[in-house]
Amino acid sequence: MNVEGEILIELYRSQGRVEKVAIRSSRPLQLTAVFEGKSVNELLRVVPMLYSVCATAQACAAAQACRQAMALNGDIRVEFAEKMLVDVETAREHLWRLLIDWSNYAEEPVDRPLVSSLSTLLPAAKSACFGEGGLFTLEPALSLDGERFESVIERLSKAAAEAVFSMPPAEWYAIDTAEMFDRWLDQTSTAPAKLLRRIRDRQTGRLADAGANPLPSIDPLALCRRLGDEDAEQFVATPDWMGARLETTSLTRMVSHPLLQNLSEHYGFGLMTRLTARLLELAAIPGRLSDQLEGLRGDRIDTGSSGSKTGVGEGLSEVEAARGRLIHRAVVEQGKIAKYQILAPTEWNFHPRGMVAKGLLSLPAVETSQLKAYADLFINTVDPCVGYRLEVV
Amino acid sequence: MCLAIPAKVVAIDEQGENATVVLGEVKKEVSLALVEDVSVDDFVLIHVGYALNKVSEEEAEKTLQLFAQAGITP
Repeated sequence: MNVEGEILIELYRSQGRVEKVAIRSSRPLQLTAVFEGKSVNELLRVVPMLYSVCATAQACAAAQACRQAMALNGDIRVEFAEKMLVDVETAREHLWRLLIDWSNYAEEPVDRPLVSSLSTLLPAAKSACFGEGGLFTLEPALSLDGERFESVIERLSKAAAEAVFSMPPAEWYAIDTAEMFDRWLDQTSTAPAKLLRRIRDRQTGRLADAGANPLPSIDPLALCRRLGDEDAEQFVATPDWMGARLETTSLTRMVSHPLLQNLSEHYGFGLMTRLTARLLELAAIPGRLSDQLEGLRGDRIDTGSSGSKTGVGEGLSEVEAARGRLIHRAVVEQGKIAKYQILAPTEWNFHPRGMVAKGLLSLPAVETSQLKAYADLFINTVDPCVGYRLEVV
Repeated sequence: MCLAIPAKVVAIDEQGENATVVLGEVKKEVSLALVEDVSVDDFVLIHVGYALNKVSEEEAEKTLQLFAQAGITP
């Protein structure tokens, strides 16, 4: 009954090392074909239902691609607020995985009431931005309640401080040397700190070093052309750019932070650096949201690089979702979807010869259960919600 | 691009932590850690062992129809 598909990962050992990694995907990427012929409004209704794991990012990408395809250049503050909601979703996703998965890895109890309470964050943020009106529709109206949004940011900060950092997230974000980081590890009793301390003390922080080869900003026109090619289906399933197999994760978004640069001197881009990147991203979000809220209130917003034009009737959106960059392309003819494509971060990261394969290939060929444990932690570090099956041959 | 699949809740354990859901003819255990106020007979979207959120029966049916159109069936 595995309708959602999965990624099968096989590790082959030989002569004391992992000799080969095979990655095959049965994820149903063809599902987007069912959107063809449907109205744009119908598409916008069903996308968050189908792709409900990161539903806000998916809905945001769909709405922004369709608006662009239909040349609907409405209130730029709407798209700005939509991306703020994606940030709230990213923070909630990170917190959920830290609270559940990292607690399990650290053999600490899961704080279920806190996990459960996070489920109300996004509805509150959405309501604070758009009231009870339509959200991620073609022409939504912003109805900002700044105080309510502030309270969402406060709840987020409090949860992150309590469960992860033992200090305000902005203060943790200022940690920029390996020595300060080590002191934090030694003085903090949260489950994430315990997990990282264990990794440091067991000297496993360098494991699964796949380097850092970030997916760069790509010219939208070039990307549209690639997605319009005859072999686009193959590209969506196993993407590369100019032959390069690239990564899009929290690590690639945070790689320029001084702490990661310093940790990479000790750990390369292995487990420790990757796990820390997730914490840095979580620590950055509340402060960024506060700045963005101020911008939105004062009509001083930076919409980034959006505004690049694609072909007539064609829209391309790029959204930085919890697991990496999510790209939607829509071709709209007379209000109906003529072509729809989704290029998800999972396909970049789990490319058969991509970053995950490289990281797994670097693991030591220890006994099976230990090898599986290392591989599982590494995969979780890259994408904690991907469905996969791991076999050691 | 992770999909979540609608399934009907047929049982919940005593602690309220896990549920048994039915999808097609298959039963499966899922965690209720990420959702609140789930009861037997509710429909939930499930993904990799977790119930993500509640949906109406109508939404569940429409979602399954879309999967069927794409040739994806439980």
